[in-house]
Amino acid sequence: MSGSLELRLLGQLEISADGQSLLAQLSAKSAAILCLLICTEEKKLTRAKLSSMLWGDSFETASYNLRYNLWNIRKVIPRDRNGQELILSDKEFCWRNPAYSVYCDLLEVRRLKEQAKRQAALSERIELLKKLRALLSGEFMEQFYIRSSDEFNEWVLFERAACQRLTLQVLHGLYTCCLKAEDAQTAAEALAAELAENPYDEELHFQMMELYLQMGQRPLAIRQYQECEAVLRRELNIMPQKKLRQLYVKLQEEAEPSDAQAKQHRKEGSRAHAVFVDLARQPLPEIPYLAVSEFLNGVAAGCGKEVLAGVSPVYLRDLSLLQPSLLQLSLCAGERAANAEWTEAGKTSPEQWFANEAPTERECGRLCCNSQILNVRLLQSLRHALAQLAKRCEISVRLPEGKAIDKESALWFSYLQECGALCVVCGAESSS
Amino acid sequence: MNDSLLLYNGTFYRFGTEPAYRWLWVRGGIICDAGFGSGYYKYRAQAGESLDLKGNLALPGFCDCRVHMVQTALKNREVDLHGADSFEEVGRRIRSWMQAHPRAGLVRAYGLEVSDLKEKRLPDRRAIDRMVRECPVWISSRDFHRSMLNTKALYELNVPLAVNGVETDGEQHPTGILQGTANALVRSRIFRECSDEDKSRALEQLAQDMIRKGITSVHAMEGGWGFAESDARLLWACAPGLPVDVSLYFGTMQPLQAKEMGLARIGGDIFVDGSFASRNAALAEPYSDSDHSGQLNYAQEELNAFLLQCYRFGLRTALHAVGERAMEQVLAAHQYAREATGIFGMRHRVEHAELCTTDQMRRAKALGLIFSMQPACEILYGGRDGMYAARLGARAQRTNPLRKIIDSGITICGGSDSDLTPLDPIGGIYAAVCHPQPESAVSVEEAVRMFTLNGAYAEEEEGKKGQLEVGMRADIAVLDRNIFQIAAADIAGARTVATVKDGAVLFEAL
Repeated sequence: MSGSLELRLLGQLEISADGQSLLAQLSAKSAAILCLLICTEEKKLTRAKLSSMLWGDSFETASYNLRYNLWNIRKVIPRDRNGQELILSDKEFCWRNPAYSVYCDLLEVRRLKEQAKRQAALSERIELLKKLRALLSGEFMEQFYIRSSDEFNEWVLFERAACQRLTLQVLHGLYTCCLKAEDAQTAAEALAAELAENPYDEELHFQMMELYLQMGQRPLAIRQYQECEAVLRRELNIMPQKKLRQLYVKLQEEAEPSDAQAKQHRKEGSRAHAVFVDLARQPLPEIPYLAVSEFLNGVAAGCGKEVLAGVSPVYLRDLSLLQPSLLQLSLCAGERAANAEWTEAGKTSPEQWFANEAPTERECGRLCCNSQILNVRLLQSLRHALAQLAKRCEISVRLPEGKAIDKESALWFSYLQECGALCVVCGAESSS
Repeated sequence: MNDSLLLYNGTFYRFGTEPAYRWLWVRGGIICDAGFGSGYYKYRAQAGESLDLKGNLALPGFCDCRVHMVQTALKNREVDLHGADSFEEVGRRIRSWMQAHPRAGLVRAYGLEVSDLKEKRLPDRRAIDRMVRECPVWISSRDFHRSMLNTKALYELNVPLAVNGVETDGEQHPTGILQGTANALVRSRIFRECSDEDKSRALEQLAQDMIRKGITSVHAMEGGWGFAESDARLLWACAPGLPVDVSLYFGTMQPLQAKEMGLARIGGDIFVDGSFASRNAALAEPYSDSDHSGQLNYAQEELNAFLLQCYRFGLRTALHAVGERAMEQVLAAHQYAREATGIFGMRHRVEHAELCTTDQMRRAKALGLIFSMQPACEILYGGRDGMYAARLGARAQRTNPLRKIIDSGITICGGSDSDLTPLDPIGGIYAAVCHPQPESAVSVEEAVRMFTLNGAYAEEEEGKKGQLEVGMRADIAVLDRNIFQIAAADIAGARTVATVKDGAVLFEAL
C-alpha cells in the first residue's frame, strides 16, 4: 500500500513510493511503459501502440513482452490506500487509473503552465513562473535511452524538445513580468539564465544591454556587448547585428561616469573645457607606451574636434604614431595649415623647426627609450600639443597606484607633470 | 656531456650555391663548420656522435607553415570521412574504427562532404542509427557548418533542441542534423569531451610523427571559429616540451588576449571568407555550380579596427582569405592599418590566397605581405575533374598560381593545413613542382625553399635556421633520394630517413 507515488521525469528518471526508489525493480521497458501512460494522462493507449513503441517490428513476441512488463509494473508499484492499482488494462487498451494519486513533475509543469496562462495578477504570475523554472531544471528523461525502441526514443526526444522550448518561454516570461514589476535584478537573472541556454541569441544580448543600462550598470552593458561579439565571432564567425553595434558605439561615446568631476569643472572652470582621463584601470604594463596611447585617446574623445583643431597638425601627425585616431584629425587640418604655421614662425619646414629647437636634456636622455630620436620628437610633440590645448582646456589624468602602467608611459607622465604640462593624479578614487 | 655531432658523407644542399657541402660539424645545436672531401677528419676523434649519411641528400629541417596541431593530433582518435562516397562507406569506416577502439565512448567523425555522397544528402539520425546504435556518434561536415548525430548521441550529449538550427521532420521530430546555433553549441560540448591530458599525450605523439617526416618547425593555427579556444592555450603550455619548434597563431579577434599570453602572432583561423568546397569563399564572380559568389564574414571597418590594433600591439597577423573579394578586403585593411600607424615590415601573412589577381599580388607585395599556401591542395582538389574545376570552371586554371606569385616578388611559405592535407612536406614540394597547371609550377629549389627557408623568414628567423650554413641551427632532414636529380614525378616517392633537431639525431633509418 502506498500513500505517495512520485515520478520525476525532468532530469534523471526516478520512480519512488514513500521516498523509496522503485527504479531498480523495474526493467527499462517497464519504466518506459509507466512513463508513457503517466504522461498521456488519462488517455488510453492501445496495446498495439505500446508494443510497437517499445518492441518495434517484433510482433510475435511483443504482446507477450507487454503482458510481462504490465505484470512487472503491477508487482512493483504498490496499490494505493484505497486498494487501487496504478495501471489498468483490458484486451485492447492500457491506461492510468485516474483514481490513483500520483505526483509527476511533468504533469505539475503542465498544470502550472495552464495556471500561469490564466493568471492576470502580475505578482502571482511571477510566483508561478518561478515555480515552473525550479521544476524545469533537468532534461526530460536524461540519459534514458532504449537501444531497440526507436518509436519510444522518438517520443522522448519530442517531449525533451517541448520541455526545452517551455524552459526558454518560462525564463523569458519571468524576465518580461519582472520588468513590468520593476524587479530588475530578478529580470536580469532570468535573462542571464536564458542566455546561458541560448548564448548566440543577439536579441537576448541586446535586451540584457538595455536592462543593465536601466539598472545604471553601464560597464556591464559594455561588457555584455563584448561578450556577445566574442562569442558570435568565435562560435558562428559573424558580427553582432547593427542595432547592437550602434548601442555599443553610443555607450562608448557617452561620457564616462568618472568624468563627472570634469563636467563639473566644465561648468565652473575659467577655461572653456576640462578633460579628465582616467587610466586607473589601465592594463598591460608590458606594452610600451600603451598608457600614453590610451591617454591620447581619452584626450581626443574629451576635447572633441573643435578643441583639437587648435593643435598643430604636425603634432597630431606625430602623436598618431602612438594613437592612430589622431591621424584623421591631423589630415583634416591639412598639411597646408601646418606649413603655413611653420612659415609664420620663420621656419621653412617641421624638420627645420625640430633642428632649431633643441630638445631638453631629459627629453633627449633617459626619458626616451634608447634615446631614439623619434621618441624624443614624440615627447616634444606631446608637450607642445598639451601646451596648445592648455589655452582652451584643462587636462588631467588619473594613473593607477604602483607599477600598473608601462614604465615608458610612467616616465613621460612624470616628466610632463614636472614641467607643468599636465596635471597627474594617482590613486583609485580621488581626482583633483 | 659532449653535445657535438659530425655528419659526413652527405649532400648538404645550399640554396643558390654550389657545390653542396659534404660534411657538417655541429656543436651546441649550431652548425660550426662545413666542408668538402676529407676536411671532417679533424673532428672524428672529438665528435660525441657521428652519422654517415651514405651520400643521401640533406635539406634544412622542414617547416610546415600551417597546421591545426590539436585537431591533427586527435585525428587518430576520430573517424576520417574524407572521400567517403556513400552511407554504406560511412558506416563501414565508423564500424571499423569502433573495432579498433572498442573502449571509445563518443565516436567522433569528420570530413564528410555531401557532394561526395552518392545519396546527395547528409545522413540523418535514422540513417546513422542504421549504421551504429550502441555508441553515440557525431559526424561533422567537412566545412564544420553541420553536425549529424545518431539518436544515442542526441540523448547523451543533451543536445539543445529548442534553439535555432535544429532540423526537424514533418512530425517535428529532430532529424539529428544541426546547423547554426545548435551546431555551434554541440561542437563546443564535444570539444570539452576530450581532456587536456589526452590532448597533451596526442600532441607529443604528433610531434614524434613530425620528426619522422623531417619536420622540425611548425606554425600552429589554434583557436578561432570551428576550433576550441582552449586548444591554443593548451598548445602554448605544451610547446616548450615538444621536439619541434612551435610558432603559435592564436585565432582570436581579441588582440589583448594574444598579448596577455605573451604571443607575437595572432590569427591563422580568422576566416575572412570560407572555402571553395563549401562555396563560401568570396569570389569576384558566382560559382560555376551555383548562382552565388560566396560570402565575406567581416565588415571592412571591423577588419580595419582589428588590424589597426594588431599593428599597434606589434602582433604579426595571419588572415584566412581564399577568394578575390576576401583578398581585396584583407589588402584594404592592411593598407588602412599601415597608413594609420606608419608601421611596415612586420611580415603579416595571408593564409591560402588560392585565387588572387595579378593586381592584388602587386599590392600585396607593396604591403610586404607573405602568402602562406598549401600546394598539396592542388593534388587534392586540382585537375580537370577536381573540386576546383567543379566549383570554379575555367578559373580553376588560376588556382594557387605559385609561379606568378613568386615572380611578383612575394614570399610563399608552404604548409599542409593538416589535417586537410597530410603532414608531408615532400608531398607539398611534389605538388608545387608538379602543379596540375604547368604555368603555375615552380622549380624544385623554389618548392624546397617554401618548406624550409621561407618558413623561417615568415617568423623572422631566417638568420637562425632554414639553411645549412655555418652559424645556423642544425635542423636537418635527410632524404632517401636526391629530389633535385630525379624526375619530378618521382619526388612524391622520396622519404625522410633521418632528422636532426638542434644538433640531436631524433630519427634515423639510414
